[in-house]
Amino acid sequence: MTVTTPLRLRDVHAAYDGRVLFTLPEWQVSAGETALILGPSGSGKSTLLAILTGLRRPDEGTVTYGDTDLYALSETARDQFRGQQMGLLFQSFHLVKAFTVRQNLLLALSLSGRPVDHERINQLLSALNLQGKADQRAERLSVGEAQRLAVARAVIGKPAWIFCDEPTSALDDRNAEAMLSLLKSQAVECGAGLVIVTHDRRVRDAFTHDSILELGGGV
Amino acid sequence: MSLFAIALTYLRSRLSLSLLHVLLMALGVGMMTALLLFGHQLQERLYKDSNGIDAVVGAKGSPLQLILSSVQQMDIPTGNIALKDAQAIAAHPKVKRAIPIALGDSVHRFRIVGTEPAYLSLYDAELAEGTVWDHSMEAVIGAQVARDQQLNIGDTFVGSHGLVEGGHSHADTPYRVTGILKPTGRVIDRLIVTSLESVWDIHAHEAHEEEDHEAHHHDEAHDDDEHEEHHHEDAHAHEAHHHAEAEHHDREVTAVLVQYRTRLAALTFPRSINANTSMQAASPAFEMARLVDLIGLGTDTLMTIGGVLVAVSLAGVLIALFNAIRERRYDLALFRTFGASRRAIVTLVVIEGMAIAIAGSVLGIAAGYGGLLAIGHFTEKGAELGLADLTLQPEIFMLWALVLVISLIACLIPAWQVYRLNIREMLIRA
Repeated sequence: MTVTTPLRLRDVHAAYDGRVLFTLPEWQVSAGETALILGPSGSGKSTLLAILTGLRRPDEGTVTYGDTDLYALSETARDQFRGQQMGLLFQSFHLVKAFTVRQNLLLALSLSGRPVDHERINQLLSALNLQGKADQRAERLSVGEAQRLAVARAVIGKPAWIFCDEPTSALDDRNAEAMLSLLKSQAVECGAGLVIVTHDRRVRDAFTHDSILELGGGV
Repeated sequence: MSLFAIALTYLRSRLSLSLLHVLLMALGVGMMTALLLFGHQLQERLYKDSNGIDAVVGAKGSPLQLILSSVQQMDIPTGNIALKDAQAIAAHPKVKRAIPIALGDSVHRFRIVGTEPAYLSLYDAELAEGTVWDHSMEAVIGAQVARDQQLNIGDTFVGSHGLVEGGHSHADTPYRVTGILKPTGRVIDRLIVTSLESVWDIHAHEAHEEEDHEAHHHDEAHDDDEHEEHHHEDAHAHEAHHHAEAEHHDREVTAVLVQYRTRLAALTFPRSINANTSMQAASPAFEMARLVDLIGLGTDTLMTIGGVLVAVSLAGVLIALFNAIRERRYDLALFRTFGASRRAIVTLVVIEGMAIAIAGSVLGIAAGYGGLLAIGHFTEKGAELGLADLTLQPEIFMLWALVLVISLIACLIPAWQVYRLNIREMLIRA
């Protein structure tokens, strides 16, 4: 079995339009840990998240998951690795609106190459109080329901890593609190490492984090 | 959830637009299918029915009309020719066989052809049951006539004047069925074949009836004049004798179907008939080629319209795919984050486009083919052209393959756009 922990960055350097975004000599997150990546807008948080998830090759340096060098993999193998080992949660949820709640979960499972586990889908829908909405199109969900579905989709395949990009920035305090609580519980249930990119102080306050990486302000 | 299921879910999510594209594609492919099949069937029918006939001699007029009326049994004859002229043709040194035909009556939409038994051999027609006629007013019927009119051996039927429905009925002179032909797939299936005498007798009977009717009025006017009555009887008998003789001399046929003794006769025989007699000789092969050329001009235009429709539908599918990709570029980027490869995303786009192309083209072929079959079954002209027995031709499968290849190429354009999609940019912009 592939060992996918810890996540380790070595001498990672990223630039955009000739401007250096960040240089990270070394950073590591172990299995089951929670890490926050903080920084103001334009500091390169989203770029770092793209590098961590295999969506953007760093200009220099290596990203390894256990003994797997992410960018030594072919593009297809990297896509497969992402699908099998990572769950991604986005600021605007990115639900597939033409599909039902259940189909959104099925999509995530199928495209990642995992076997479709209907029992797992039903369990998750039930745990996140979405059972009654299973056959409803995602575009008809309320904000609260949409965020729960987005979390469900990120964890449906029991990933080793959960990456979140500004998960609370568009939410009010009540919804933000609910989202963070849900993320924590699901990460614990999956035994997954949780990496959250945010500039939202509410996240920093809410988490008992193991690691913080501040961009634009040093580690 | 397979890529196919994902593509179908997307298509269902914009069902009316998807159906519109399918229908547009079906319309173009359907029109092209119908034209290809119709053209093929028409050509086959025209050539098949004129096979074995080197020339047709008939009254002057349009040579195409002469062939269509005497061989394909489709048009109205150009007129009649004298029986003695027909007999002269049979005696022509360049003629191996000459079969006279006399047209003029029909039963519903089936024509009655007065001829000789040799006519049957022109179409390799064999009797399924019964015998060939022996006497006047006996007939052999084609397989389709027997089926449609539900006629059996020994049954009688009445012809009506004219080659289209609605002519007055010859109710006093019914025909009796003596034989039923096996199906041949040729025009004879739709014909009632009888002796020349039957056709002449039926019309002579009509002429007598008309004359008697007039004579009856004449008798009433002179009822009390005995001397005149006696004189009248004599005159009547004398007139009848002359009439029978005149009838024989005035006998006419519609045309003569000719087989040459040698191929070279084709060069001289028609010229000699056209130049030296009041008749014309026309070559079925030449006239059919001319007709196919004429029809070809029309079908080419319609084929172009069909092609334009297919092109428009493909452009529609292409635009729909571009729009779908623009609307769904975030979805597609998201699929990459789920672990889908670029190839899988490209495949998804191609499946979506090809689903429309396949559904539209299959529906089009079914509609084009089914439409012609329906015309063949439910319309007179369609039945005459043998559309009811239509079979799918290899050209249709070639058309289908061509449409699918062009569709695939069209789908690859937006698919290439998807292949180059920058997921990170997409997700950041969303």
